[in-house]
Amino acid sequence: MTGLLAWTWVAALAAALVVVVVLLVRRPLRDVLTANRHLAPASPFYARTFVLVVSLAALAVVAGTNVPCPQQSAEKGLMEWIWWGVGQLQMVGWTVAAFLMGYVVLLTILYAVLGRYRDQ
Amino acid sequence: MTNEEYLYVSYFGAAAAGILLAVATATLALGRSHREATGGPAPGGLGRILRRVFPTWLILAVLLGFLSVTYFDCGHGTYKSIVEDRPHLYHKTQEQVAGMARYLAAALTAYGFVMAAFLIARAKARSGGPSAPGRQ
Repeated sequence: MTGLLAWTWVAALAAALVVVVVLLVRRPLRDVLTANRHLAPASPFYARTFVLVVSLAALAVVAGTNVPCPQQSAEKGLMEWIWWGVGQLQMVGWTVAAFLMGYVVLLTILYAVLGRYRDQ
Repeated sequence: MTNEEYLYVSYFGAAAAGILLAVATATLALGRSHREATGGPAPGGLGRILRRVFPTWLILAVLLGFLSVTYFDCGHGTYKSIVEDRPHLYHKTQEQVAGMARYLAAALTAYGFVMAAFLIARAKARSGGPSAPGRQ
């Protein structure tokens, strides 16, 4: 039961991390993608894809996290649970960061090529 | 539910859920925005090709993520040893879900690059090349 509770906390913190990343990136992403008429039609697609990719990346780590078995759970102290949770969150952070970087590279390439066009 | 029944249900249930997730992503979540992005005249009918390829690509990615998990490992060399170990079955189902989510995220990111190439090709076809730097 304690293990499940700890897993739920990790899942909630991972969801919170996703929300923070999306909120931080959403506005600049929209600004970049509405720079001209060539980029604008793809703006909703990239915005939605970004939310999905970050959420799926976090889900992949959380779903793959093993809850400690009841015997191990009974022996764990509070600090051990915190270390366990932080270890899982580290993996979530790495995965989200990797996909975020992939997206930044993608948008940089896209803007570097299409940002040169000017609307008439 | 016996371990073998659990194996059947979790295996086919996870595969079905993954395919449903891919279809929902391609239609409900991204269908409209994808049509908006690829709509209008495009060189060589590229937009139409992309609209056909997109759902297939996502379904294939999810299936690849699902199939990337094997039940056999050092401690589980036979079908009997796999079925006897219920925690191993739970763990493998978790791995399948995680694999499908990871592959779907990677597929969407990779498709973003394809979409970028499409947008560049369409912009060049429409404008006949970029305007000179600094010109409005």
